[in-house]
This record gives sequence, C-alpha cells and structure tokens, in this order.
Amino acid sequence: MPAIEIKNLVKRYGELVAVNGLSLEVEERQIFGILGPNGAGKTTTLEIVEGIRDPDEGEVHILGLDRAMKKAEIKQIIGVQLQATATPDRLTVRETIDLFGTFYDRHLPTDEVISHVQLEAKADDFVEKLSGGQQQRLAIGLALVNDPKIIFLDEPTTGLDPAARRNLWEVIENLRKAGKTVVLTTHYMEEAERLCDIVAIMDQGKIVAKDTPAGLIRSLGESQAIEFSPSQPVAAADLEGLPSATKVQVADGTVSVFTTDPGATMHALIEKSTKDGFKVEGLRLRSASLEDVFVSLTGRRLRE
Amino acid sequence: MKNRWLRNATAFARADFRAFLRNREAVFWTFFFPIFFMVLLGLVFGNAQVIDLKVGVVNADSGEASANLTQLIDGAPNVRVEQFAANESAAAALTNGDINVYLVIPADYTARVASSQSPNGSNGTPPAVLDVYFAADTTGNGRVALTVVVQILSGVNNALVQTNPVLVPNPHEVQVTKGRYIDYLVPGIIGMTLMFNGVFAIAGVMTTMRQKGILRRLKVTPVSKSAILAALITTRMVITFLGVLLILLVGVVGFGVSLQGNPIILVGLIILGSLSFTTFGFAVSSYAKTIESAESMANVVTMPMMFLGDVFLPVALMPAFMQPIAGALPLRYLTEALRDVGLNGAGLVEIVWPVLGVLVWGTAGFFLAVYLFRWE
Repeated sequence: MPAIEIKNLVKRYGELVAVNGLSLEVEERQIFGILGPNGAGKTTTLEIVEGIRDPDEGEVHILGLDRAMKKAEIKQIIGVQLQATATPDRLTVRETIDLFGTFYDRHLPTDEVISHVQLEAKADDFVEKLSGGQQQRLAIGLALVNDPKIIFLDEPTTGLDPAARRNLWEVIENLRKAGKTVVLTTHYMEEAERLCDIVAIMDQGKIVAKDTPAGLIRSLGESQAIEFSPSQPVAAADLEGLPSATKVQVADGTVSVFTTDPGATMHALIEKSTKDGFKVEGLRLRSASLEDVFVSLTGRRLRE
Repeated sequence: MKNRWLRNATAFARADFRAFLRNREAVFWTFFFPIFFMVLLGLVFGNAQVIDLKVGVVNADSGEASANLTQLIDGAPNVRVEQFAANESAAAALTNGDINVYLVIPADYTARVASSQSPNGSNGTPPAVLDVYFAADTTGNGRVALTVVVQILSGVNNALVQTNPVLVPNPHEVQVTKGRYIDYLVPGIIGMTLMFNGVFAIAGVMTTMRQKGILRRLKVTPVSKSAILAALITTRMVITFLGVLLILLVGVVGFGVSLQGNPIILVGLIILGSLSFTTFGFAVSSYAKTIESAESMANVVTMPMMFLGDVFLPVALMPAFMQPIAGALPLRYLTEALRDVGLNGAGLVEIVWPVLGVLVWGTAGFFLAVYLFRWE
C-alpha cells in the first residue's frame, strides 16, 4: 500500500488552474521531494493532501484512507509543517509543544520532541525570541508531536542561512532513519539532491518527471556542462555544432553546453566567440544537476 | 470524543490565559485603565453631592407664609433651595440626582396658616398636607434632606403654637439611580470593561490568530474549532470577571460604594453583557483583514459608546438630539441594568427592558458574527 496516492487532482482559483490533473504515488519510508518553481502548485497540492483545502476534482488516499471521508483519522497520523508556521504568542517552546500534544489521541513526550529537533537549549525560551532556523525546527517538532507516519514539510529551509539549512537537513535525515515517510517541497535543487530518495519535478500544476535524483540527472545523458553568460544573445542552434557538444540550453541569458569532452568543447567555444564577436563571461565547468533537468523539461530555470 | 473536546478546550484556554498574563500591555489596558479612570474621576468628582443638600420647592402658593417657609429652608445649614414651576420638572431633577428632595407647597398654604392663627378658626381647620418627595439613593442624602425639611416644618408648627399641627409633611420615597458621582461611575466602568474585553480582546486575538496563520496550523491538527472558540470566549470571560472584581474592590473599599442587588442577577448580567459584546468582537475580526484595521474598527465601535453609553455622563445631561441615539446603544442598556441592580437592588422584573435591549443587540451581533465569520 502506498503511503500517499493522488489521482487526477485539479484545483482552480478562478481562471488560474493551480493543480492540473496531478497524479502521484509516494511509497512508505521515503523522503519524497516535490521540486518546482514558485507558483508551480506545490503548496496547493500539499495543502489539499493535508486537508486544508478541498480539490475541485480528484482523489487522495493516505495510507488507504480516503481524504474526503476520513479527515479526522488522517489528522491523527500525519504531521504538518506549513510554509509559514505560526504558533500562539507568548508561549515557550515547551508550552507550545505541550499544547499541540494535547490535540492528539497519542503524543510523544515533549522532551523527546525537543531533542528530535535539537532545541534543548531553547526549551524554555519564548517562541518569538528564536532565530529563523530555530523556529523552523520548532515547526518540524510540532509536526512530530503525534509521532506521525507521514510528515509534510512545505519549503522547510526557505529563507534560512546555509548553516541553519544544513542543520535542518540533519533533522530531516534523522526522520528517514526513524522510518517516517516525508514529503517535502522545495525550490532548492541541492536540497532535493541531498535529501530526497525520489524527486518529482512539478511545473504549472503537473508532475513532469519523477525518479531518483541520480536517475533524473542521468536522463540528460551527460554529466558535465560548460556554463557561461554571453555578452550578447547567442542562439542555441549556433552552438550545437561545437565539437563533442550534445545539447545546448539557453535560459535567462545563461548558456549551458552539455558535452562528452569538456576540453575540446571549451577550446572551440573560445575560438567561436572571438570569431563571432561576443565575450564569454562567467565561464565554468560543472556537473549536471536537477536544475538542468528542470530546464530541459520546461525551458525555464527554477529560480529567477 | 466529548472528553477530548473538553481537554483540548481547557489546554487552549490555559495557554491563552497564560499568554495574556505575559502581555503587560494587555494586562494594563484590561485591568488598570478602567481603574485609573475610576480613581481619577472618583477623586475629582466622587463626593460632589455630599456637602450640600439640594431641596427643590414647587410653590403653588403666592402668599407670604410660603415665601417665608422657602426662605427658612434655604437658610438651614448646608441646604440650598431650588425653585421649580411644576411637579414634573422637580420630579425629573430628583431622578437625575440634581436635587435630593422636593417639597410641594399647596396653593392654600398661606390661607391655612392664616386661618390657624385666627382666634376661633383653629381647631376646625384641617391641617395643610405638604408632599415631600425624597430620593432613595445609596448615599442617604435624600433621607438626610427629608429629615431637614421635616424638622423645619415642625419648627414652623411649633411657632404657630397650636395643639393640632397645622402642617403635616407627607413623605414619598422616590427610587433614583443616581447618588454620588462615584456610585454612578462604578457600574458604568464595569459596563465599559465588558465592552472593551468583548470587542477589543476578541477582535485582537482572533485577527492575530487568523492573520498570522495560527488558525491554519490548528486546522491540520485534530483539535475542534468549537473547542478553540469556546476556550477563547471562556478566557476573556474569566479575565472580565477578574477586572470587574478589581473595580468593585476599589469602588467598595476605596470609595465606600455600597453594592445592592442579587449577586446572581449581577453575575448573569455580566455574562450576558460579555457575550453580547463578544459577538461584536468576532464580527469585527472577521470583517477586518489586518490586525491594524481590526484595532481601528474596534475603536470605531467602542469609542462612541464609551462616551455616549452612560459611562461617565448621564444620557439625560446630553444634548436633546443625542439622547435617543445614546439611549439606544447596547452599552447604555447594559449600564442601565447594572445600575438598577447594583445601586438600587432592582430585581429581574424591573430590568426587563434594558436586558431586552442588551439581548436584541447581542442577537443581532451574533447573526452578524456568524454571517461574517471566516477561519482564513
């Protein structure tokens, strides 16, 4: 039985179709990432599955329970961290976790939750005094109070500094070790690559690809790319003739030339730039990433 | 199921109450702002009517004896006479607390006094009956004034040297709501506190919880929405009762206000008033998009009532065109009922109309709140 089964989900806001016939299955005991740009419909999808919004069409089953019929049961077995989690003012971390615990039939001891999210030192501080990263850890802690089988994290690291982000990744990885199913959305490709067992790429309300991060990158066929910003616009077709180049992507003024022989391609590129009269700026050689997968699928970059 | 509802509501109410106590600003506005007002006004105006007694005289007689009597009363220590042309205006002044007592001198007063003095007519003449209306207020000033008037009348009798009294005072007790200003003020301040706690506190906490997304977060937990609403209302009610107790404590101990009436009726009135204003708070919070606009709207709702709702200033003293508006405000009905019970010991039957007024407003507010209500 899949942890989550979504069939033909549709959600419209007036003219806008936020979720457009989305179907998806998430297996148990995985970290499942939904990667997509802002406005792709990630949060709406998650909120429908969590029970905050109702879909216009489609079905969702969570551990076999029909979302439309069994809302109360589902709430007992899922844990949710919303994109912006707010808790009542003027309560300490401990009091907040205590309060949320009372809402569930079964809940973990508060101290255990606090240690899961590494907030021991801040347990008796007011929530509003915590740093952004600590507040986000508390938000995840609140998603854990009922010892849920499935945990939803909506952009858990957005707005955090790199250190806080790495710290949060550790917390999330521990959830996998504890045998939880985690569904998270993100628009950071490195986050998806590092954390997720399976990544679904979402664009304009639909899943456009779903595989392991390595599998998605492999689908590009090449693992290395020459990236640069030309001083004037260059057509992709002009560069496809470069030696060893297999594919050229142009997105937002940045050109990526995928190649099987970076040395030969780069050499030819420099020569071509001199001949055609454009400058090659910010030249670098990099490994192919989920970002490239996204660009090749949608023609756009993840982040503008 | 029910057990969980209660457990959740209790946990939420406890957290809410704890958070309130940590909010110094809220504690100040809730508890000390009304007290501050009361003490300030109480110290300045509180005993305004104690020193001098005001005796109204309705003199239907144009003779010399009645003029002498009026002068005699005016000459008594701490007494000031105010003349009235008609019974009605004197009665209105009495109920408004402008005078403590009034005396009606019949048209044949001088004639009767004169005939009692004639050598043969004395014993056959029936005595002149003088109606004396006194205010049965909490200060006892009405009774003091009555005693003064009766003493003066008996002095006049003695001076006339007759075996049968010529003047017979006929006292009438008149229930009035206004005694000293502080007596008037305390129920008003209580009403004001109920209003502020209902409108401001509920609008503030609900708008904050919605705008910040706390309600959304609660929506993905199994906690029932009704448990949260019940908890919020209960917490505000507890806070309101604490505030009322504090006001009464300062009023009774600090200013010697004597509390009348059935405590159960008073508690019932406080609950009714609280709930009625709570509906306004919910309506405001659902209508307002942001915390700032909720605060402004709560101000729009409460400020006019604070000044027109019979809290600091009797409606009777307002300009005539204002009186019907002020008189119909929910706070006015509430303060009227609180005064009738708290100061004059009125029972349920006597406060039917103001209670009905509060109920009508509360019901209207309830439907408005339900109509506007939204979680997100």
